[in-house]
Amino acid sequence: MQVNVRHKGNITILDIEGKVIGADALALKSIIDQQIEAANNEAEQEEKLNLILNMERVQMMDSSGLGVLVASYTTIRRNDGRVVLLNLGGNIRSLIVMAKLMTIFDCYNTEAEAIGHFL
Amino acid sequence: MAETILVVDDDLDILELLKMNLEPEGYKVQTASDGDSAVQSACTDPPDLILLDVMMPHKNGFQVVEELKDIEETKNVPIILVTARGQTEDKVRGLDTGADDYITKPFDLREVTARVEAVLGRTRPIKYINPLMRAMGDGFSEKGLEQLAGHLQAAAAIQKKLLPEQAPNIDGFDIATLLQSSTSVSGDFYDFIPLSETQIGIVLGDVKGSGIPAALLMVMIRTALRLLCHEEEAPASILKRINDLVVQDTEADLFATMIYGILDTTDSTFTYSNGGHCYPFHWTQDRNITRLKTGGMLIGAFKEATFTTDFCLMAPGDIIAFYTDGITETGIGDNTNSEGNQSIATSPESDDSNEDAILTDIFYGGDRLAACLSENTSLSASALCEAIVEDLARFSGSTQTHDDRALIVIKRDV
Repeated sequence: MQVNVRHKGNITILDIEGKVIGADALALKSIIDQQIEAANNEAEQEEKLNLILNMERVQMMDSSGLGVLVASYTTIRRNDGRVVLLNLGGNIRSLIVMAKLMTIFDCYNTEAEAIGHFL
Repeated sequence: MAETILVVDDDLDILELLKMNLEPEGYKVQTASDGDSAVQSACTDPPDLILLDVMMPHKNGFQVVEELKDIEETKNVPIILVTARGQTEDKVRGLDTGADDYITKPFDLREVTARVEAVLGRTRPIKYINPLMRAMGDGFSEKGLEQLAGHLQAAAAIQKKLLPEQAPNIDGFDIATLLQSSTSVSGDFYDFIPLSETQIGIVLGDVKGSGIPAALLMVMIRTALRLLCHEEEAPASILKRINDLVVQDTEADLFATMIYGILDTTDSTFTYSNGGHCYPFHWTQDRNITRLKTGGMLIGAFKEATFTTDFCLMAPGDIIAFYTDGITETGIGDNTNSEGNQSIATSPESDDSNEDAILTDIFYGGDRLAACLSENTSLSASALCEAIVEDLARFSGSTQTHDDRALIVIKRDV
C-alpha cells in the first residue's frame, strides 16, 4: 500500500493505492493519526482536520481496513474534524454496506464534489 | 507466516516421518541429522521451535540444548526433546538444561503435533510481545515479559471457558459450532442462551481490534447480552442497548460486529437483528440462499446507531449458517504473499487456476462459502462445518488460520 498526502487549502487529501489489508491497514491508521495530530498542533489557526480519503486506487480492502475507516471517523469527529470518502470501488462499498455504514460516511465520486463538502 | 520447526534426529526415517506429519499442519520443516549441523542451522536461521532427539552420536541432545541456550540468536527458541529412554532422570536433566517439553519414543504422531502446538501456544505471546517491548524501551525485564505472557495465557483460558463447549441439543434441530483462534486470545465469540423451554438466544460476534482490550470488550458484550436478553424481547432493542453501553465505555478503536437472534422451536422461526456482521446464509429446500441482512450498524462505534428486527421461517431441512469474516477473508497461501501464490500454482488441484483467478479471488469470499454450503446440504451440521474447513484449506493451501474463524450451523430436521 502507498499513501500520498496532498493539501488543497485547508483540506488534506490522502491518495491511497494498493491493498488495505492486515498490516497495511495499521500503517494507514498511523498516517491518518499523524494528520489528526498535525491539525491539533496548529491550534493557533483553530484549523480542524478536513480529510478526504481518495480510495480510487485501492485494489482491495478487508475488515481491518474497514476498522481503520471507522476508528478514524470517530477519532476525527471527536477532534471536531470531518472526513469524507472519495471513489469507492465495489469491494469497499460492499464492506461499508454490510457494516450498515453508508449513512455514516459521506461518499463522493469526484474530487470537486468531495472538496465541496467542506466549503 | 508459517512457523518453522527444526527437526533433529540421526534416524533419517524418523526425520522423514516427522516432516510428513508436520508439514500438512502448516509448519515449515527444516531437518538436521546431527548435533553440529542442528546448532549451525538454528543459528543461521532461527526456527520457531526445535524437535530434538537426545540419543545421537558425537553430540547428544542435552549438549545441543546447552549450546543453543548460550547463543543469543537461539536462546529463546523453544525446544522439545525426543528421548527413547523413559527415565525420570533424563526428563529432569532435559528440562533442567532449558528444554521446554519432552516426548518419549516410541511416540504417537498426534501427540507430537499436540505438544508442538502447546509449546508454540505458550511461547507465541512472548515472541509477539518481545519486539513491542523493545520498541518501547528497555524498561521491561525478561521476567516482566514472562509475566505478561502468563497473563495473556490466563486471559485466553478464561475466555475459552466463556465459550460453550458444545452446541446445545434442541429437539428438531441439529446445531454445530466451530472456533479456530489465530492467537491465544480470540476476537470471535458465540453463545447460546436458553430463554424458555422453546426459545434459545443465539449470538455470533467478532470484536475488532486485538489482544487484551478486544478480549475484554468481548467479555463485556457477552455479559451485557446474557443480562439483557431476559429483559428485552426484540433482538434490535438488545443490540441498541449493548451499542449504547459500549459506545460510552470504550475507545474509538474498539467495536464489534454481531448477530443476535432467537430460535423458537414452536413455530421454527428465527427472529434476529444483524449489527454490521457479515450476512448469515439461510438455505431453503427450494435450493435458494437468502442473506440475513436486517439490523443496524456495527456495535460500539456510533451513538446514533439504530437497529431493526426481522425473522425467517425454517422449514424442515432448512439451514442457517453464521460465520465471521475470518472465514470469508481467508487468503490464498500465507496471507496473500508470493510464497502462498506459488504453493497454489504448483498444487495438483489448481489446474483451472490462472493468473486472473488468483488476482480476483484473493479472498475466499461469501460466494464460495455459499456454494460450499449448497453442495453439502445433505450433511449433518457438524459434517457441514468440517466440509467448509476443508474447502478453506483447499483454497488457501494451508490448514493454519491468520484470523479467528467462527462458524455456527443450524439445520432443521427433515
